[in-house]
Amino acid sequence: MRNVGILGVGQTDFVTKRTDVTYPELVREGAQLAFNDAGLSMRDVEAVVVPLAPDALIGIGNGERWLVEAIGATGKPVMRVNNGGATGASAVEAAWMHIASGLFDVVLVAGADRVSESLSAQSVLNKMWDVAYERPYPQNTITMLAMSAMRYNHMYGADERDMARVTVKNRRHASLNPHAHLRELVTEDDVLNSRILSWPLKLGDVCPSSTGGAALILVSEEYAARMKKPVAWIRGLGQNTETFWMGDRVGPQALGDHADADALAVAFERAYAQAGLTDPTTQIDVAEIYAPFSSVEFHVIEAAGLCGRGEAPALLAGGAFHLGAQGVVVNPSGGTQCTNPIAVTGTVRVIEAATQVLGRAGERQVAGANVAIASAIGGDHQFYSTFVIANHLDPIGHP
Amino acid sequence: MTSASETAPARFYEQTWDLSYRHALGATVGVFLDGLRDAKLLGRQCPKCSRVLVPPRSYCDRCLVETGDWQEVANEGVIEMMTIVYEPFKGLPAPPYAIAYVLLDGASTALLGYVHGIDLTEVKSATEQLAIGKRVNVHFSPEPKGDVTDYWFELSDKEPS
Amino acid sequence: MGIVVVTAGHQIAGERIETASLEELIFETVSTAIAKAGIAPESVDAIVMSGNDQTDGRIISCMVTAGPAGGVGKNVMTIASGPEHAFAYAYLRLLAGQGKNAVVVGWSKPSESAFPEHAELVSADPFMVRPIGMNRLIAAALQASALPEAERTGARSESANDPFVSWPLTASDCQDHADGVCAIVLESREPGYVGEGAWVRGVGWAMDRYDLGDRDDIEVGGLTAATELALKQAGDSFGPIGTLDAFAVGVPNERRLAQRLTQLLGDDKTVSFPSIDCLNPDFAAGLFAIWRAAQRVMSPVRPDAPHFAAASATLGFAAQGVTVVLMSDLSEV
Repeated sequence: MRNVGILGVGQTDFVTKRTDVTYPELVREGAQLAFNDAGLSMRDVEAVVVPLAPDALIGIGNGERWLVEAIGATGKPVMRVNNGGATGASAVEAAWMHIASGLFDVVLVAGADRVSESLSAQSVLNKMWDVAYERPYPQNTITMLAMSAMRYNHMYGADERDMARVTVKNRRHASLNPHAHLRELVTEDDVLNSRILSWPLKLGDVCPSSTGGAALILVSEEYAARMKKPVAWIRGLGQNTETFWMGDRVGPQALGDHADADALAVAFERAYAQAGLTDPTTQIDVAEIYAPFSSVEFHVIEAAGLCGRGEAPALLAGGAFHLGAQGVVVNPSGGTQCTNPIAVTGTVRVIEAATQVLGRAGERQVAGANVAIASAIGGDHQFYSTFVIANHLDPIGHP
Repeated sequence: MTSASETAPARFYEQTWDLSYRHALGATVGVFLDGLRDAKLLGRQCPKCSRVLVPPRSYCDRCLVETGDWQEVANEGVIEMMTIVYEPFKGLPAPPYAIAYVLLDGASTALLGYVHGIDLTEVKSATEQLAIGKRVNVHFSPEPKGDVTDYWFELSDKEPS
Repeated sequence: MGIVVVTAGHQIAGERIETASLEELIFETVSTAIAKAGIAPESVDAIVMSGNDQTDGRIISCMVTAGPAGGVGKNVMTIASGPEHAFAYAYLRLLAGQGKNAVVVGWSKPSESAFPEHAELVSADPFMVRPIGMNRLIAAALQASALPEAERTGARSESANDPFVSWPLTASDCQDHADGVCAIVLESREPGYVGEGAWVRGVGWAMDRYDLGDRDDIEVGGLTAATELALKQAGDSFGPIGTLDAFAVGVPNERRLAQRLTQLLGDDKTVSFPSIDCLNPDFAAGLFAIWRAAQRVMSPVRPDAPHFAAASATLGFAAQGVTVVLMSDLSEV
């Protein structure tokens, strides 16, 4: 297998609105940051993968066609990935595939989102659901995750204060990340007293609608050797898919439970197997995992094998997963809960993981980070994409 | 650098996507919707994994085979998950409203529907009444419109078994 | 190791398919494809999909299509830029050693959309192009207008029954919207493999500029770059091609694409075949072209059949994106 590394990364600062640039210009901004970081230009790039989730949120169909000139990709192979919320990570998998195939040495992943440009995001997102059985009900991404949260809390004895602790941690982390969208510190009571959107989710539990661009440049091992520059290596990757039908994720005959993320656990196992990672509880320093709402972080931590089922809330309450704590630090960037530019959220997870293992994460740096994981979730908790990223190509072992 | 973007006022171009559709539902959905007129909830069984899929689908996505026999399931079951929506969203109904997935007796998968008949203003009491495991009955509209809102759930008097 | 197109499931209708849902059509097509390939559902390694949310009327339509496409428990990748890109991705995946097989499925069911052309209008840049008005046919007409006069006409007859849709394209120059699904099964095989199939020798794809006024080559966009990329993989032993299957919006446009690709591949004896029955199943059209080309060289080969075939498909306004797939019969590797 050909080794593939991340040579350069770029992300803009994420905000609610950008009125100074169009969508293609925003993609260009992210790409330019990645080029600067890698010491390359578009001339060096052989192929491009564009992460772009629902067209309706940026208000143009197949927006990947619109940005070709802006990033200088004219005449190059360009393809676009849409795996829902997993898109930004799946696009990195797609770019990895380009290089691992042996046909390409330098591939750019570049995208952007401007979710706030849509004035009816949750109405748009209702159109994700089955036309006959689910759309007549006001199903949307918030109700979907509210039901997962209440089921998790019921099964494992967790509560809304546990969820609030996730927000408090992530906001503290985000306050150290200049790119993050929501950076103000909050207390548990702030979260608990915020208004209920869809019980048990409150405003303090959910992510913002973010605008910004992100890009990264993947290279083959041979190309990396010529660049003589530290590279974050993609040591393993894995995807998996859960049934679309949420009602099929309950009851005795369910394969996976809607309270948990069982299909995500399988995706992580695939990535770990490829990386030769045998003990996630000791061999991982940083986890940049996609959890748009506080409640999601618990079952993703568990699906990643960082602790047992239902154990994450108590561990968090005991101080685990925070910057400065012993063991794995979860979402030192503040995570998806503080910054969610849907199309590139997964890309940012990979960027943050790479930045950590290269020791370039500034105030949010996890000391001595060598091995990181990244993940993303798309559809109705349905499409899962995972990565193991390290700063070396040696066997991954106990520290 | 002072760019034009720093000095110029923000300009916008407003657009509405006016896209309309007539989605073909397929025969299986049609049978289910027809059943609602007779106060019947119908599922289809996968011949391979034996699950009774409710709502019915013409194929099983786990086994990738066509589903077979139709089976009527009970008009009662238990709440498997639910939420009460308190936030207004553009294009969605006025809050508050409760929706739940209910595993009907005889079904292998849970059915989505509104839960009516509960005062939703008090969060704590409403969510406790609609906790996982609570039994509900299915009610049918006397004036069916031909879509899935022709049924809804209400709490049952029976205690969970 | 090589990558082989082993079989496909496909259905297309010039009329509307209203008795089945989109999800049911996809289930039927994929089930047929993997059954023909002799692969059990649990042995499928990856599903690569392509569709268009605005045509489907489903936001992130891969959510509802992943299950019927056989994706549960598997690696699903939706390549939303077009079905021929999904094919290219499946090829990359198998070359990378990720699994032994992949199913590529593309679909369109424009009959569910009340105004399919309006769904195309929202693909136009909102500031410059949308206010003026654009769709695939108007874009193709602009492209055709740049062709030499003798080539602007396609199937046009001089009768009154063939009015201009958008000059110079007439009704018979414009493929009708069609409901269609195509699922192609790819497998990786060792050289010496004997069985049914067509070797994929090279896949190239490239995008031209979005803005029609800025194109280097308004006639065929990224064709040259895509062909170079495909030929680089196919190597010197490839060719000459005997057949070519092309898909582009507009009959004269498609003919020009085939003609230019034939020149690039350096063979003037190529027989080229137009898109199926003058239908456009949009996000399946490219896969239909690839599958038809594969069948022409598919082993076991007829004695008079060509050894080499090409397929080309286009996406976006006026063929902004062009993909070229080169295939040969099994005896060539």
